Amino acid sequence: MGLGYAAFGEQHPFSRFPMYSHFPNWAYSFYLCDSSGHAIPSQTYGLTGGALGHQFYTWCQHLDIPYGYAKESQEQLWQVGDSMIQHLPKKPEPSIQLWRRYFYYTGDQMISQDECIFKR
Amino acid sequence: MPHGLWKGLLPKHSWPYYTQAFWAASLISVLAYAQKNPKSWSSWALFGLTTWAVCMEESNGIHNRNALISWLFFVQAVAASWPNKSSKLALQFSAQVVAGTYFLSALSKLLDAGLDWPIQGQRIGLQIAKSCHQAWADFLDPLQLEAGSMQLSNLDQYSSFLPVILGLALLLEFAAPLALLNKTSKWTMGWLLVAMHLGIFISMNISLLGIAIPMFFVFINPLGWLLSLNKQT
Repeated sequence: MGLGYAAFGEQHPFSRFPMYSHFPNWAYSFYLCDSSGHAIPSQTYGLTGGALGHQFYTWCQHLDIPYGYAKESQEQLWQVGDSMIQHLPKKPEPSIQLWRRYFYYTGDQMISQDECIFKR
Repeated sequence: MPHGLWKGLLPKHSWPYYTQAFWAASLISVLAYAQKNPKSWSSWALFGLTTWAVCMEESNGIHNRNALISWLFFVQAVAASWPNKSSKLALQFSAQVVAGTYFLSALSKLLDAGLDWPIQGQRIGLQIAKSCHQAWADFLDPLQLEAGSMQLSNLDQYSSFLPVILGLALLLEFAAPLALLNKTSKWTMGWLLVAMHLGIFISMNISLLGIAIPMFFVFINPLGWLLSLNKQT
């Protein structure tokens, strides 16, 4: 398994199983809102909140956008958000918003910041 | 976003009856696998089908990390094709895969975070907050956020124990190959890992079922225990 990972990288079935192998000082959670900014259950569109998060990282990797520590630019977030909304399993309403909650520590205090990263 | 098998082979959505063929192949393979003395082709087929399915899932960005299941079918296929095959060989090979998985995971932690990993774990609160908020996003259930607040409050209360607990978890993962010594060590390691996964789920709302469930069936082997009970009666 390790040799396979060395040869092919993180490609199923080869993996080094990095289950929380490090704890950076950031975490993102994503959720959907209507045009008024009221939250909509993500399951409405066939995705869990967790899967929504995975989609963000996948699209960032696909679009070659570094992520983490809220270092993504507005244009990059818009680009990723647009891709995520377009690829929701169920077609969303014409006007929908994608929000991100950014968690991080300042000293011992946890801070959370909400930001609309895409809307149409 | 092609991943794994789907990189070299183009996703063949245009193949006629692709989905039906996939499910039919899966059903036939599962039925053949479930026989008393399954043929090796059923394990090889399930290895191929699960690899294909997980690659498709990864290509869609789902990332459920179900890597272990394909390996289990692979080693069982190898065991069934072994020249001097015995009924215990499949379980023995499967145990080696499970032990190797946990060991690799421990190695990943050392490679990515070094010996600081248990101390970095003070930031585990971010993962708890994230997990609970993600769970809230499913159906906007406020209880998920309340549960998150409670877990974070517990974390604050017992934060001094956290490096010790994480250090023990890391040691446990490194020690996973000890499960291969004998039946007792495998069973003991199994229950220790079950306790670890339960602790992770209760404290962080994170379930690693793709790894934990195969580990449970291979290390603790409840099916083998039930079969031996049946033989005794």
